[in-house]
Amino acid sequence: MTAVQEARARARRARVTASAAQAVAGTGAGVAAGLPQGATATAAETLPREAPAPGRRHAVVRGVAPARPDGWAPAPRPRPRPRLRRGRVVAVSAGAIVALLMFAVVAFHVVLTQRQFRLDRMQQQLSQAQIDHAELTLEVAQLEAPARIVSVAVHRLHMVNPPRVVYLIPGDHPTSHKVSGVPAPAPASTASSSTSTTAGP
Amino acid sequence: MVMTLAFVAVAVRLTDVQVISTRRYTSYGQAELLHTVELPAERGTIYGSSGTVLAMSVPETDIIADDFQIHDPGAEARQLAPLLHQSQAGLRATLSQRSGFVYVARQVSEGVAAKVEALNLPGLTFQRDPRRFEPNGNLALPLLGQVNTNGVGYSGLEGQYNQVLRGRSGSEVVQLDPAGRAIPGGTERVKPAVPGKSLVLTLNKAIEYEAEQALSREIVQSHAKAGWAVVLDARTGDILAMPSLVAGHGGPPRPSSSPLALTTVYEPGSVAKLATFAGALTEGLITPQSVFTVPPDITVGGAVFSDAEPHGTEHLTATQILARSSNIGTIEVARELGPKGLYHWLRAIGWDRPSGLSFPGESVGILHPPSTWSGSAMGSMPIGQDEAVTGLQLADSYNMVANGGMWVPPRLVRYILGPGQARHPVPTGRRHRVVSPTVARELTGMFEHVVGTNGTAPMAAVPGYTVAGKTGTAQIPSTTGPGYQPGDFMASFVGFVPAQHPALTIEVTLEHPTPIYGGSVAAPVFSQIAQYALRELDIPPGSGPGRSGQGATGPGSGGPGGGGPGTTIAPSTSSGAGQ
Repeated sequence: MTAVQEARARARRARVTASAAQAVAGTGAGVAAGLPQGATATAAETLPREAPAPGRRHAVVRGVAPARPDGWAPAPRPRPRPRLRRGRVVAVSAGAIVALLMFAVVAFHVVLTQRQFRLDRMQQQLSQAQIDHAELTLEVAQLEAPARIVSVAVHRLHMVNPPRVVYLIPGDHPTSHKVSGVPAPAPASTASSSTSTTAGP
Repeated sequence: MVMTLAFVAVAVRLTDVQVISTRRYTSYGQAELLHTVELPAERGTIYGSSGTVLAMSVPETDIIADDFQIHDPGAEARQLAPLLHQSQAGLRATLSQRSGFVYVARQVSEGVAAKVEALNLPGLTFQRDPRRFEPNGNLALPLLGQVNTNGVGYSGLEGQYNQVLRGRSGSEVVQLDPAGRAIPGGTERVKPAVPGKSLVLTLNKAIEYEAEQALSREIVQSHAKAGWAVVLDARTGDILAMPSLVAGHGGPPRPSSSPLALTTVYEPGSVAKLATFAGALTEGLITPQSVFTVPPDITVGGAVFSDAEPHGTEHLTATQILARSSNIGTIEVARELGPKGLYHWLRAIGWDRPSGLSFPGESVGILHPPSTWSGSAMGSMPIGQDEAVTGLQLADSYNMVANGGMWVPPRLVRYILGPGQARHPVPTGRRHRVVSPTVARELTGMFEHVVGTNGTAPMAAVPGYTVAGKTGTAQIPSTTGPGYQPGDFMASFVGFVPAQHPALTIEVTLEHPTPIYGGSVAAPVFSQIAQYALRELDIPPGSGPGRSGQGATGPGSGGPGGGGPGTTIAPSTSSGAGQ
């Protein structure tokens, strides 16, 4: 080992010892015990416990971690008193519940508003569908208007009225049909397209 | 100290606003926020006999402006003008009225309303406002009637059944934002509108159209002032068509303001001879073969009555008297009945009764009791003067003969269609017997001769079918005093087809036609309507025994004497005829 390495090792040991001494400083025992620098024993092993005074409650220091081989040991922390801890748990839980409730209320309102928007939209769609239905019904009725049908038939399709309606009236025997009227062509001037002779029932 | 006082003042005011006057301030807030919107009820539809739409309402939109919220009327007018097809200046004036409520446009289509809404202009609101449409144009318009812009029927069936058709408006309380737009989800209260009920009529759209066309052609051809027709289903009394037209001034005839067959009473002329012959046959005073001596003229109560065509003394059977529409012969038959008997039979055929339709403005006719008759009334009453009827009363009385002597009440509204397609029949009058089936058969035979080659109405013939009917050519009473207007006549024909198994009863009347005779102007219209309606209703020919001399001639000359132009009242007499 070189002189430099030796100096580093000394310095490390010195830091560890200082930390251990600082950890037990709360009890005031580390310094009082006169522990020499560079000692490898842990503070817990070397320091005597102070006996509690009768009629006085003291915080109990428990569960001090065993010293590690390198001499480092965590400082013992004082544990909270149970009532305080319970109160804190209740408060945190209550806060969480309130926050959750508030979030739920907000979420509920959001959903409600979304649904309301959707309902409004559907009602508008329904209303529009009813209007469309009425408009289409009107359009059908207008298309079925006799004046329009006649106009289309005569002017666009160039149809003509049959000059005479012929009825075929069935008798008892297929050959005994009674014919009422004589089919005749439509007048030449108007028979440009279809000339129909209507056969009745 | 000052801070304390200020704090106290604020606290007091806060208490006042939040606690003491909370209702008042809430109402102020709600008045700003909440608005009541009327939900107009959908007006019921009027259907024809086969379910075709005759009148219906379509939702349209009123565009309303709260012009206090419009800060730039010019800009809004510029955007609205092309969509609403209004002038920019006019719209600007409308939007600048400072009234708080102004109609920018009424009853615009949904498409236009959507385009305007998309502009998102402040101060505009949109309100549903149904509009009435007659998809068949003017078809049957006098019967259907009219609806005003507020959706209230004021004439025809629209007026008569307004309470049934209009339904009940609802309301909606909505929250509006400061720009007047509805806040989604801001609907507070909804009272839904109750839609109106619908009417299903007995009208046949196709027959109505053809009847209007036939009547229109005759009005133009005969230069008549007006005309109407009634087409009845002979068995049920259903009114299949009731066209009613007035001459257009330089244009085609147009629909009258009301159905003239219901609202106009007129002296019917020779078609009134039905009462005389029905009574005389029923009481056994005559038979169709009874022979009467008919002189060239006859004087009753100082008034001289003659026939349409001059003739010497003739011997005519009752059938011939009716077929030739002899006034003198009819007066002789009526003498057998006497005034009370004649009055009884005029009432029996329904000429003093309402039809039962209760149509707005419908007349019940004019028929005075014998105690008020003048001395010449026994000459004028049998031939259709001094009494007045409507076209429907006339059609009903002949339909009684077509039904074997049973009077059948006419019907125009078949039923009212309620929610869930529930049908509510409309009550009508009661059927009742007027003459026996035997007398009805005898009358039918006599009326068939009217349409024969020797009758007054061969032009009423329908090829392949037998027709029974009667012509009437009546003078029009003077509006300025006693007597009649010279040269003014009412020409009528009323009959049924097929004669032996009647399916249709049709009445046609033209006012002031040229020529004047019912056999020349009204009978051809009857024939045209009957031909089409028989085909439309699938009634084949030969459904009754044919009569010789009918249907073979078709439209012919007709000639004078079609019903006879009533009588000529001698100037020296004051019989009161025509009053």
